[in-house]
Amino acid sequence: MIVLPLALLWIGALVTACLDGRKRSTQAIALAVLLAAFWRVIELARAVVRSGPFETTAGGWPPGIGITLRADALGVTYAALSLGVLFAALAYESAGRVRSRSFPALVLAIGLGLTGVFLTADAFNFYVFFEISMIAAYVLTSYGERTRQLRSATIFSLVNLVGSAFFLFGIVALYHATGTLDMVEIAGRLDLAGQNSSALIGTMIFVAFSIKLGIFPFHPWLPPVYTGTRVAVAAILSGALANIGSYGLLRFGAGMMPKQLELASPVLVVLGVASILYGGILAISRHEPAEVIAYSSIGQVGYVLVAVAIGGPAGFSAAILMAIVNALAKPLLFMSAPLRGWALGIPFAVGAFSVAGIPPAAGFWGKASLIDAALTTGSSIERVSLIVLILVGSGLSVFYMFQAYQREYWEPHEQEGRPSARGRLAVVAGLAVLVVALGVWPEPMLAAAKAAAAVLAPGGGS
Amino acid sequence: MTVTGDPAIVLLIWVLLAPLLALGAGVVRPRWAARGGVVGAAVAFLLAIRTVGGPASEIRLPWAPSWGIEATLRFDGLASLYALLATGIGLAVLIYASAYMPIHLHHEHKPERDGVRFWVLMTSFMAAMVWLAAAQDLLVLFVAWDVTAVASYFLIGFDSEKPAARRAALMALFVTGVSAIGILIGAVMLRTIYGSLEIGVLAERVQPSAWTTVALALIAIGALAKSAQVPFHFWLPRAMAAPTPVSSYLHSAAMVAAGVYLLARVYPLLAAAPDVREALVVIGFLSMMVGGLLALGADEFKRLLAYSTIAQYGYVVVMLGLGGKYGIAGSALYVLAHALGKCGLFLTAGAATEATGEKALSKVGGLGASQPVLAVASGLCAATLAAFPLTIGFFKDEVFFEAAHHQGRLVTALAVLAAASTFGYIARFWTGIFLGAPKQGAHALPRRLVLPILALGAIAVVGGVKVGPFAAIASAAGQASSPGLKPLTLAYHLEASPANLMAVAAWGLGIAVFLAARHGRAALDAFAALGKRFGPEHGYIRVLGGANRLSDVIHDFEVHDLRSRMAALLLPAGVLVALAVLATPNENAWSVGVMSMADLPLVLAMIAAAIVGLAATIPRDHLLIGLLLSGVGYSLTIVYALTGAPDVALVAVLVETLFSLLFIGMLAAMPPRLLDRAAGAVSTDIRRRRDVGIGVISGILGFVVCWGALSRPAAVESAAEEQIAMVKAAHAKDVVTAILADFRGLDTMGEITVIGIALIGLLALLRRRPAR
Amino acid sequence: MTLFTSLIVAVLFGAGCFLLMKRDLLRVVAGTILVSNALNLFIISAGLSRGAVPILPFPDGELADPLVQAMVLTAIVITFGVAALLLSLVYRVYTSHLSLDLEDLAAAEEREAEDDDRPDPQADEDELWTTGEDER
Repeated sequence: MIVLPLALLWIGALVTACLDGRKRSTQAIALAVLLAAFWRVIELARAVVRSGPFETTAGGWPPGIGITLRADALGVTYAALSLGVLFAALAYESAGRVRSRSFPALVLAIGLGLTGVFLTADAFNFYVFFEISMIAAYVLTSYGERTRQLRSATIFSLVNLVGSAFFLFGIVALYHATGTLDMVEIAGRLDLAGQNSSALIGTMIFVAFSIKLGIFPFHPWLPPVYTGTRVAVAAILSGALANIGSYGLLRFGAGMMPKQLELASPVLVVLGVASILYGGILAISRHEPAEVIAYSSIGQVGYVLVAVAIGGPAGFSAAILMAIVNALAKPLLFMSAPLRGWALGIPFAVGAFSVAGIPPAAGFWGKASLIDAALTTGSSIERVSLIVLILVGSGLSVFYMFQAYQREYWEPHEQEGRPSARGRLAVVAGLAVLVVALGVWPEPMLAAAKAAAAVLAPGGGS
Repeated sequence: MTVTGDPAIVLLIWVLLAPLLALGAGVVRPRWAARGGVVGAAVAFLLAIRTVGGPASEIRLPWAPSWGIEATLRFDGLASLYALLATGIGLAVLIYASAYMPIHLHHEHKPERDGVRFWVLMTSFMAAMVWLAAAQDLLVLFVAWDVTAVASYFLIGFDSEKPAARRAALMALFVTGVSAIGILIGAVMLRTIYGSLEIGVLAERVQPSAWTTVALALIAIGALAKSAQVPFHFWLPRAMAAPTPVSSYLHSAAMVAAGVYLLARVYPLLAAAPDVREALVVIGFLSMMVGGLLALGADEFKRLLAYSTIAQYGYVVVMLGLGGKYGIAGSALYVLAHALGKCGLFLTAGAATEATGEKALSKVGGLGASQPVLAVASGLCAATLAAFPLTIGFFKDEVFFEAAHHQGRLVTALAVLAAASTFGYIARFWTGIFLGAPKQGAHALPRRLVLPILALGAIAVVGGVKVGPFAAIASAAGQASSPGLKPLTLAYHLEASPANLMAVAAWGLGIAVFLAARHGRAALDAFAALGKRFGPEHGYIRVLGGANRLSDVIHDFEVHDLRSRMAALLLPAGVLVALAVLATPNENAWSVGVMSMADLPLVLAMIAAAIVGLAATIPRDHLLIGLLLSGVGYSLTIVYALTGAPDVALVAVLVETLFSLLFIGMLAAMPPRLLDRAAGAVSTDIRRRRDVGIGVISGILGFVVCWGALSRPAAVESAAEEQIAMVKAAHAKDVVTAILADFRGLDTMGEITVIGIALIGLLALLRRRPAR
Repeated sequence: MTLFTSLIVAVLFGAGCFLLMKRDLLRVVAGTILVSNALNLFIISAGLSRGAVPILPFPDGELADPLVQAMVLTAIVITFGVAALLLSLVYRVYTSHLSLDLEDLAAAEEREAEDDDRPDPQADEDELWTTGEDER
């Protein structure tokens, strides 16, 4: 049951790698595989809701010896989200013109890596899947092979290579400290390990995921990469790959190293606040929409970090909700920005409203849950400053998003360009409708976030 | 889901369909969008009338069960009042717009298709207002609230090619959108404290406390910003950049009215925060004064009316702050009467501009002669706003005076003064347009530009003659805010009651103000200039303009090259590691470990690796670097061999050799000149010292984490030991092979996949020949 | 041994990071190789036991930790894949720009952007942020 989506994606990637990805038929196969994997993950999610998390150990070995895969609410939520975004991005690119043989296969490979990351319960296996998605992303970033893409691919791969090194260090150090690679067992045994060494391990893992997320001050790679690469790839990086970052913070931080997380929470809050302000302020005067979105995502992950630092059911649920709405809004914005034709301001505006936390786009649920989480914090000063921060952050995001929106869609431009492919419009419109639908009917998103947060922090909460 | 009472749900659904109706009609033929919109508004208005006076019908929807939120909508008196306004005024505005918009589009050289957007947005705006009116819980209210902001954003920016429209739209969205986050925060705070978002439930539970006050203050700020009260008032005059029907609707029945609606809706909660209510009185009076003075000095029609709106909603805010029968139900009556008059006057402004092509009082005059019907219709609306007897406006001032005169002399005096200034600027507006010598030619107007104004004026007169039904609607609205409130009983009393005396004083003073405004332009202009120089709008522009500049400055400082990007990873990581070391106890955390003579070969191999590694940083020649790199690799291979890992050593030799070949092959493919240039860039590198520093810091970082991590090995049985025990079951001789091929076969599969993907990338990237 | 190993790891890592700071992309790749070598050394040193080769028949006494060996093997192979990809990316940069310096690419990018002849960004700003009256 857990293996099935992985197997589907693996075989799909293998098959499409042998075919010419520029052909419609190959793209159709890849889309079908993604859809099937997505559907399997949804089935998995249903089963998890019905009867709780379940696991299987590869090769039938006892857990601890073989690699255990585990599906719980947190993992399936992220897997479904990422596969959905990948589907949208691939459909978007296929609707135009795919320029390389390998594009569909690489998208499937990212899907394989991400699904594996979200469904494995083994720390080293997490690293392997992580590398699958990363290396596929390195190749994808260079897709298009113009100067901008080459430069962003070089920056992206070099920076993330260092990040991966930090992460691998953390995994091996965890093994050294606990004698196991099973995530649950690690969590149980970490109390026996030295406080000092676990703090160091936690730091390295945190840095690795912060790089992935693009949190201040680990963000400088992000703007040139997001703006340099092609839009479909930017959508994948921001909507699917960045999920590793927030998932990793939750899984490793909240799930495995809660004490270290608590110890680090002041640092996390400081970095989160810095990200929100830095991303927000820098986004203001950027002129290219992609650049605005890139800086905006630095700001938005700041909220995720703050929510993780707040912790508890409310904090984790807010972090997951924020991650979900980001993962939908960012691809929507990236993919709608370059389109030309009638009524194209609307999808971009929907994304902008989501980022700014203005209903009916889904983003405001993230903000509401963050406010909710902020109010659970201890001291009045903390609460008040978090609320002020949310207000300031919202002000910044309304300002930069709509300044960019107006510049792009309202100011008269000389050349209109030819209208974009219908299929692309359909993908973007579909995402926009989804974002509004989740704003009006948020229950699936809220329920998923709540269940996923319950994995990390059993207990009540909203 | 539970539903009681049917007209309400039909109305709620119908208003959602109305935009679709307009859109559908517009898609078929752009011209039909207007019909769709008008029909939508007309049906909605009829349905809204049916909700008046009936039993309060209620709808509950399970909205977000995970959060325990039920969407609650109920048509009580307050909901009916605002639904009536939104649909009724909406109908009048849309009928007007059906004649106005084609002219407007023609004027702006826009295709007819652009008009469809207007109709869809206006009907959506109406829908949001109706839902807002019926909302009984703070989250539904927030959503509907922001939908009105979204609709108004697009409507204000309708003529988006004009810079003024873009600026105004952004300003309106910024002020009302960000203040709305305050409402959301307030709502979530109340839910955290009292466990509900439903206003009725909250009203029973709410207790005075600091947090309650903060929550309610945040909600009140949101309301005041929407109602364009000082100091948030500056967005409203800008918003008149929208086409006239939009301004008219925005000022009278939607958007701005939503602010005072919210105050009335949460009125039961304000009992727990007397400070907030007192603040409302102060802000209301301030707005009256500021709005009044600016309106007396304004020249453009729409600007004058916009300032007057600020002042008029100041009345309502004061009345809600004062409370009591005349305050609460009175404020409802005030909103009703104001909507009729203000809408009519805005439409008049549009019609006058249409007839003359002018926008300012100083450019027109004497229009009464050529447009007598318009003059009369607009006169009725003006009379209502100026509180003439026999119009409903008379009663709006009477309830205001009734509410005010119990509050001491200061409030009484301010109330009279405010009413006088209202009289003054309304008189300016009407006489300026319709009386005096004609300054320009005027052409005839389509009937649909005049009839809606006449209808609004007529309703105002009906209300002045037979005030009963209007008072009943207002009383019902008041009872929704404050259950048990006695109904308003209004009639003309020819007696020297305080309210009547105040009214007479206001008229007298009003005439004086009107005359003074004619001669005191200099002072009024000076006030306006002062506001421009130091007012909140100036602050807004300064702050946001400053943010733009700050953004540019920081961006210039930001790192722009690859190595700074790498440094930006390593240095903060070093700081965090240092923090982690400082934050945790260091006793017994570091162990030196034992080293015996048997380890000597291993030690030597490691030292060799380190020395060769260091050496690799020095040479200028790339080939030498490549060779030294493989030297490091082979030294480590020896280390693997000596630590009981022959499998690793074998693979490492293989991989190292492959990589060296690849590296050297690549060097061979590149021209020496290029390589030399790249190497030259290194040797002339002036930042070499910085690089060494970063290398050293990174080395320390690596040392600390590595030593810290290695110092405390797990003291329990490890997975490796279990695997050693299981190796026979895997039918293997070599434990490492068993792990790779069997226990952790999934990793190996993944590893192969990585290589496969790398190969795909390699093939794609190496395909190209060098450019010439 | 712990302290000694850490020192060696640190030297390799520091040397690698020093190379990462170079403009010459080939040196940067060399830096990543040194960093991953440092990491591999750390992994093999993170074994929870030291001793004989873990191949049947087992000798008496402790065996070397086979799990870290498996991990280091996987890591070596993955690193090789990534490094090879990186090298080919550098080669690709060379083929299209005849340069090994990423900043040359940034300059080329700016030239491309200028060719796009976009409206002067400063003009937008002035338009948005003037206090001037609306056109009458």
